[in-house]
Amino acid sequence: MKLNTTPPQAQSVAIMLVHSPYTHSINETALLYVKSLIQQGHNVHQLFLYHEATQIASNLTITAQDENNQATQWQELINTHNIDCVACISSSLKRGVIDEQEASRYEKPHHNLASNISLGGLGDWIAAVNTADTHIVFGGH
Amino acid sequence: MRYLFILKQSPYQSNLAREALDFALASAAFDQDVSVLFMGDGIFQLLSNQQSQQGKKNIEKTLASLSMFDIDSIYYSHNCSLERAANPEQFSLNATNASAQDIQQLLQAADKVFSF
Repeated sequence: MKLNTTPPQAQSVAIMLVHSPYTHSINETALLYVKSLIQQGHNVHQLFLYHEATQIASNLTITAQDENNQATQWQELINTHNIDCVACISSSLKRGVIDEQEASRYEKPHHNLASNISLGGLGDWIAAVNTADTHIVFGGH
Repeated sequence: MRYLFILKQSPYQSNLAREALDFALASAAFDQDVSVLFMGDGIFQLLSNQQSQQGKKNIEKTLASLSMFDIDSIYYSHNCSLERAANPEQFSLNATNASAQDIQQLLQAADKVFSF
């Protein structure tokens, strides 16, 4: 089936991911959705990583050669399309995903937040939801 | 904006029940008009006298803070409570019984719906 590549009106969509990459297949669905969304001329208003999905923001994940590295896939997508990606700061810190500033604040020896992803709060997400045309939570059910 | 949160997580199976509640509270703190609807195993969050283990936050105590954030529109699904033999008299807070039709109206009245 050929998809219609010229939508009647481009929509901006705020997207929240909730689950961890390897316990739930929903993030794979979300990745395909976001790629297709962009391909069809729509716009990702914000990608917000909450709960277990903050693991996607780590630049230290390594997978077997014949297995997709979901964190890398998301990070590439974020970089290529300049997506505003925010990882919830409290969810991230709890799961060992920290930036340089937090590493220094909590006296941790390393930091691992992927470039072009920022740590933020639910206020960022609420602002995005209220200004986007629509929102989707992948993993809410 | 009118936000409706549909909370379906059982209270202690994962941290998601808590993080969804945190999101609802944060939304109220950021001046959104928040309603909360408990469905499915989320009904179990409402039970009173929860004895959570040390080091694990008690959902019941967090629910008690809904009113501090002026979240007074709290509903539970009538059908889901019946299925789970959950007695509303044992709920820790004052929640309104919602029929399938009521839930339909809640969904229609909301600008944004978040389901966890």
